[in-house]
Amino acid sequence: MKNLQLLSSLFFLCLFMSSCTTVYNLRFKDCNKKNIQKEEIPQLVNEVETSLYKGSFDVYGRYLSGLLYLKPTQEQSYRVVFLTEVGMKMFDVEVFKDDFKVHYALKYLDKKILWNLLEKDLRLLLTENLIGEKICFCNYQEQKMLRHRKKRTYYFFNEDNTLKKIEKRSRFRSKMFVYLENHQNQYPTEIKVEHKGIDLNIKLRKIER
Amino acid sequence: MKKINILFLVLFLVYGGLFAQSDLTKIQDTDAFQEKLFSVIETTNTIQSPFVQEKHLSVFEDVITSNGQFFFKKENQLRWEYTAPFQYLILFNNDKIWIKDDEKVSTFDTKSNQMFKQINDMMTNVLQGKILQENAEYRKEYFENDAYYYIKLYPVKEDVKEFLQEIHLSFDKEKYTVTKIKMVETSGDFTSISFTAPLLNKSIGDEKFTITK
Repeated sequence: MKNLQLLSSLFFLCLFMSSCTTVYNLRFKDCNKKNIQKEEIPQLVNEVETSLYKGSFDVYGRYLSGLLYLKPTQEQSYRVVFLTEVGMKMFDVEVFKDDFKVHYALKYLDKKILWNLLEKDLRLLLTENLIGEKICFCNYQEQKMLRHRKKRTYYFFNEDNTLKKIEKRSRFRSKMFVYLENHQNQYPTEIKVEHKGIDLNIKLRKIER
Repeated sequence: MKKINILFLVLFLVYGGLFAQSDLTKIQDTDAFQEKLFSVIETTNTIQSPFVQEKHLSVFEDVITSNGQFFFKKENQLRWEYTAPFQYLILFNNDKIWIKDDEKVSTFDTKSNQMFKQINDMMTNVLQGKILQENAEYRKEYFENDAYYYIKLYPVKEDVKEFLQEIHLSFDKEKYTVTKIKMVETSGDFTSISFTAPLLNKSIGDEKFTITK
């Protein structure tokens, strides 16, 4: 009886694991595996110009709304300033390729956990450089997709090669989604970041400066 | 002679430039100014004006501009609304505060939330000029030129100083209405709000201070 129970458990465990690892029904050999040249990578969000967004952060039960000002400072580094609508600065950070600096933050926002999350999100959106990385083109349900195997990150593209969704996964589940919508001149005017398992959601809508 | 002329010209240009940049002089009779201002505050029941807000970030040359309209009705009703380039509404109606951000409406109560009460009081006092009566809260400097009175306020309390280094108010010399506010943060950033067409004592319906979903 005990052996039967053990076998049943093992059976369900295998079924569970196999269904998760083939979530996109992909095997590595089905993708075009090679080092991708810059010209071949569809437009990511990086190399964005100076922009102003109406934004909201839903973070651990606290709702912050305001204006997010984004400005490229050097090659692949960006200054990001978040203000209230009335003009009071809430935080001012700078994301580099390999560094993250907090120039200013209101006391109640100055938390390491917040900066860790924000750094990862901004880096994913702004400074991700896929050139020379081990990525591959795949087709998933007739959608164009780039897969970064090591980072478990999947980039989904529209027909016109604009980026529409980013998904970061752990081995067994999705960790976060980024949705990029309403593109103008190949840049998204609406960006939504949804974390799974962490109480953080970000919404940005581009507005006139 | 030529050298003296050149020296004179240089001096004139230097001092002329300085005079143009800071044509403000100290108000000699601050009591008379305050007496007149406070009498206008006493007889003002409503204020309304379109406004232009400019946020200057010290690290960038860019200015972030937004437009809106405000309505104030004594004693404690204020509608502060941004119309471009985004929609955002703050309503103070006695003890209640509503914030409408796109479609999301949040409600607060100043009775149970001291911070919102402070914001409420500050906004209504600044818009009326009543903030000049708060002697314990701010140190003041009084200036004027031909067009306006210019008052600089320096917060005394630490919790306000954390956010604001200075508040500058410009008053129209004939009507004693607030025409411009400049809020300088400790970082050097500042926000200036210009009231482009202030109207006093024009009737404002109560529906302006209730939320419509």
